[in-house]
Amino acid sequence: MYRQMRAVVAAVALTASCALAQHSAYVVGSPDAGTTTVAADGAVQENWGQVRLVLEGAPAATCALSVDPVPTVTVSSSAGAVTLTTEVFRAPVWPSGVDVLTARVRNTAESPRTAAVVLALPEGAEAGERTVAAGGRNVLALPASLTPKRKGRDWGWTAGGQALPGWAKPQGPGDPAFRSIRAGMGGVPITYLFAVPPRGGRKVVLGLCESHWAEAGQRPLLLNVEGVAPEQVDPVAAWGQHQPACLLFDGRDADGDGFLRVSVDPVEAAPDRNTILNVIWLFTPDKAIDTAEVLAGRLTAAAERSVDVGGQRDQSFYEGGDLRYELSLKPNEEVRFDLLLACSGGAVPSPEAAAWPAGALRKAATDVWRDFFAQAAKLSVPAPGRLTAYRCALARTVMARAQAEAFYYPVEAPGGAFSPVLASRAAYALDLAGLHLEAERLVRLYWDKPAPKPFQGLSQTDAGEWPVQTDWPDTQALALLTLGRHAVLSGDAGWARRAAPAVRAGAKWLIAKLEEGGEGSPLQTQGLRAAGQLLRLAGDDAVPVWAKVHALSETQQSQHSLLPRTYPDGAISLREALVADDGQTLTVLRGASENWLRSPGIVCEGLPTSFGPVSLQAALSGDTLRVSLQLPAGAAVQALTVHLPEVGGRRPDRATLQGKSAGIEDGSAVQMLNVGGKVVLEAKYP
Amino acid sequence: MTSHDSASAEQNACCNCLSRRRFLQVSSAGAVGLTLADQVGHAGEPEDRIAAATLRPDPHVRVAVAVLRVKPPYWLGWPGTSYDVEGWREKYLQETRRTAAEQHLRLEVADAPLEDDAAVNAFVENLKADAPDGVLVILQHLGVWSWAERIAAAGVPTIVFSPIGTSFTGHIARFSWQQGVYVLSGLDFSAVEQALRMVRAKRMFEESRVLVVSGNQRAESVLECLGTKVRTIPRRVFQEWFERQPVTPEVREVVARVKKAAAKVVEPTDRDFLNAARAYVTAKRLMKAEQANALSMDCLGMVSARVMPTPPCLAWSLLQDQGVTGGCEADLFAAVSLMFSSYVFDKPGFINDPVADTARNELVAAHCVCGTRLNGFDKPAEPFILRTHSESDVGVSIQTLWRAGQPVTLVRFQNPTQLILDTGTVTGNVDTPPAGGCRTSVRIRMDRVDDARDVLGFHQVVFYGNHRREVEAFCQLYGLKVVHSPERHVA
Repeated sequence: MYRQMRAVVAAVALTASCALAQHSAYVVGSPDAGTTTVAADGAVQENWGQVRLVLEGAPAATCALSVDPVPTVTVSSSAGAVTLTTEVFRAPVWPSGVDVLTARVRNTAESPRTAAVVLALPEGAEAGERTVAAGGRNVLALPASLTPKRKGRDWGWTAGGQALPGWAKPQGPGDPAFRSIRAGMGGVPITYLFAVPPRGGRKVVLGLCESHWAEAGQRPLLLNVEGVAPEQVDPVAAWGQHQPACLLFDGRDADGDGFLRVSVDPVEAAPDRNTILNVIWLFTPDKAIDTAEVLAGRLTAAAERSVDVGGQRDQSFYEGGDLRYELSLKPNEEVRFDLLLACSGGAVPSPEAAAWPAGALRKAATDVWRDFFAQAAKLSVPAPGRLTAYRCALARTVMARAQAEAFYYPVEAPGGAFSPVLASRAAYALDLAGLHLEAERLVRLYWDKPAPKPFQGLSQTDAGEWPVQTDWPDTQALALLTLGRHAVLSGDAGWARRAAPAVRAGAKWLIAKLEEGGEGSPLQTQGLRAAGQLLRLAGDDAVPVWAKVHALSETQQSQHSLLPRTYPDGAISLREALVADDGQTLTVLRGASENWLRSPGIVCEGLPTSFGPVSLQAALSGDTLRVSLQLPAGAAVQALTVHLPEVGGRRPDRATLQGKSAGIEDGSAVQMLNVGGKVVLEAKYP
Repeated sequence: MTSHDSASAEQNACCNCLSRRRFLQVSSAGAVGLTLADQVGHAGEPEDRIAAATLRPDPHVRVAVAVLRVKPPYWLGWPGTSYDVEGWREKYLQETRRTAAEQHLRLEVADAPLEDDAAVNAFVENLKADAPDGVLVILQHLGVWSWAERIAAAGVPTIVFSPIGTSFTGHIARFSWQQGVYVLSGLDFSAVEQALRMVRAKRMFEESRVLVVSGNQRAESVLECLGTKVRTIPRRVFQEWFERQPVTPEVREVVARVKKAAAKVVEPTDRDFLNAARAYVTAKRLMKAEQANALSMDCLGMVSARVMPTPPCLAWSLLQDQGVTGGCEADLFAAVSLMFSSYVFDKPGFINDPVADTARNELVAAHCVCGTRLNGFDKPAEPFILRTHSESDVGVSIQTLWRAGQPVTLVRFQNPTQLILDTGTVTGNVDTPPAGGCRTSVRIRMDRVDDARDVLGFHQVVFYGNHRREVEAFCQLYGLKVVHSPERHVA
């Protein structure tokens, strides 16, 4: 049975590795706000479509991820002397966040240049003056500082927020167009343009129906029809909630630009400044208008234009397609602009209403990520790529995780399925980094019952079994290992006591299965050992567990995990390269390379281990490697191995420990037993 | 670790340097024998005490200071030849330094008074490069207003102190209304103290995280303008932490302290008191774990669903008195409004449900959470009575007795960039019974609002003092919109 299981495990591992190798895009995001994928060519994939900023004439782009502390994807391209550098990151603006695409177009020449930057939009997206809408919501905020080249239509909206079809509940007979609205959330005016003969006039009828407020005074509106004095109206005070009504204006193209402008603006002191508008009708000046007839829909056919605002037949004033920005750049000039992209099902903040000055969006992201990483143990290595992978892995564990009622599990991408391997590795990565509360959230699913509805199928059964998952056949051992490791690394006895009943039951179930036959797997031994450690921390000697671990240990030598690779490995591998811990031996600098030891060297503080927190400093100075360790006091560490990497292809020829000569095993390591407190090791290279 | 510990550990390590063979023997023998309980700490155990004051943000605040004047001695022109230019410069800088020390501000004072264009330009360039949190400009001559405007244009929130004798109305008529600027024309230096407190308050907002305990999802975002972080966590988290919170010595001490300070106890039982104090300790622990400086909770939902045996009213009141916001009903912007009174004026605010007493044309502000240090965190508390939470008749709620005749300010953020601002005067307290509703119930006669029915907002935050002008100044400095209740009823 167990031989068969290991074969399945190996197959799963291979599949996961291949999947990872094909993964060529980066993700950005914010804690618990999901992720956005950025492809290697800079295309930003949102759930409403793909957006890409392209410098015309640039052959290819280079793409890089940084996490310092904000996960940011930087894409660079150049066309002659002009370069385009974009950065994409998630700004966690209240309430639902926004992706920020910051662009810098630079002329590196000493003479003027022109450049064209194209904003490629998804099919069906409609661009207004400052916003782009898709699926009825504003999904993109355009820069105020630049104007794209584009064609206008005969009529359509240029600003004014979000289309809300079916929002209104008009009572009584009336034009069905009253059911939909546009809403200018945050006090944004709703604006339409209609082509008319220059200086020409039109009779304009605006249809309103307030279906949110029942009380008067909440949402008065300022109606502005070009050529007429603004008129303030409070629909509820005038007609009541859900009551459709029409107002007639004799509009005129007062500025002679050939367009009649119609807008609904917020009233400054109104409690609710979100503007709304249901219907617009335009009639030629000679037409006699009875607003009751308009309201009933009987004059709609006679209208020159009738606009079902926010409904099916509504449209942007501008023709669809990509937006092209033409820039004239002075010598060495840089033009910078920001695009805001809706993410996670939200809408972009209105550019007219929001007060996010330049730099504030980046600061918001920095504040949130800085606080996240501040909870972690300090880990600094002069290896930027590895450090980015480390931070990225930790960040991803909290960016995309399924959650309900304080139960969580990490996923590869929003909406992803539960994977016991990913859950285990993510929790382990977080614990190794000192982010114990985050790890505790991820392991709750294993021990606490009842789990909320979406997660119920993952809970431990009354018999102590964790349901087998499709991508990992030995969920039982993995669950025990996950819980035990969290207990050991966090040292949280209170939590261990809460988790103990589930661990006891889970271990009992596994022991019973093992006693049915089979030699067991290394992972099962690890799982039972971890269970024993958790139970001991909780105050339970767990004798049957330890007896089984002893029995299994005698028959098994290999302790290597067969778990497939997952993204948390980026954090685990760096941590274990510096300080690794198998519960018996603390291994230091096992994966360190010479470059990591160059100034300023390695600096780690308070790294969690099963022995307690460990601090490490290691740096080369001339021909001497100095390693300083701060271990828990007393003889806390049973066995300590400090690896001494090759430097310039040479191995150290002598070493001192606490100032006294020490032996070097195999020319590459110094070993100690029962050690604690401060340890200073110096190795000399020939 | 003591030096003795360190020495013995080093000795230990040295003695235990060993051969590979011996190493393998020993590490193998110890394979399953870890004694974890001895090796690890007890992170997050309920007996950890947390001082509430440590939850209040204590940001680094940098303020640049410059004195603007023409080169003395003066001859005619305001402030006049008789004006003791050096004496007053020293006096005002001394006052500024004293205020900065009290408010923990770091001052960056220009080396010498700015007396010409070059010095002003250099100061402006420094401002742009260093980007302090605020700049205080002290004027000593009528003819330097263009320099003050140039400094304000650097984009750093600018406080201009113009002692009488350094401006006419014409000098400030336009400039003093400009966003990002607060002009104080007068002789009262306490106004400058309050203005500097605003700079500190803005930094406190930026450094704060509000924990909203509500719903079933965890999320985090940041408020525009204020820069405050908002972390939402599932409601059940508080319930679970509360259930794990035992009756510790701290819990008993809280109960004893509150009972001793109260004028009387009416309804609450011993169990109510212990639960209320457990909620207080739970809130502090949860806030610390979540890196939060304020919280607001779906308290009514928890009590009505009977998942908590007590609402957190007492806990919130205790936090309020220590400068830490505890807000009701997961109302984010009510919590932000409470933070506003706490950070800008160092006074607890009172979140309330507004009721119009139409017979007396007064606003009755009622709720079951109220601080007692209404005069200021460092001032004597108002008398209070210990009651139950009125709607559920469980738990402990404070009925604070507000002082009649006391001017008050009402503030309510409607969103991150706009607040409602009104003022009034306390006329008395309403008891329950005969009234229903909430335990602390204050009568307020409104200023400038003809009819109490027209007062805008819900869960407005009321606090002592008529701070209308200071609130407006804060909003002008930081780009917030101010809305007032209508003075006359509009049909």
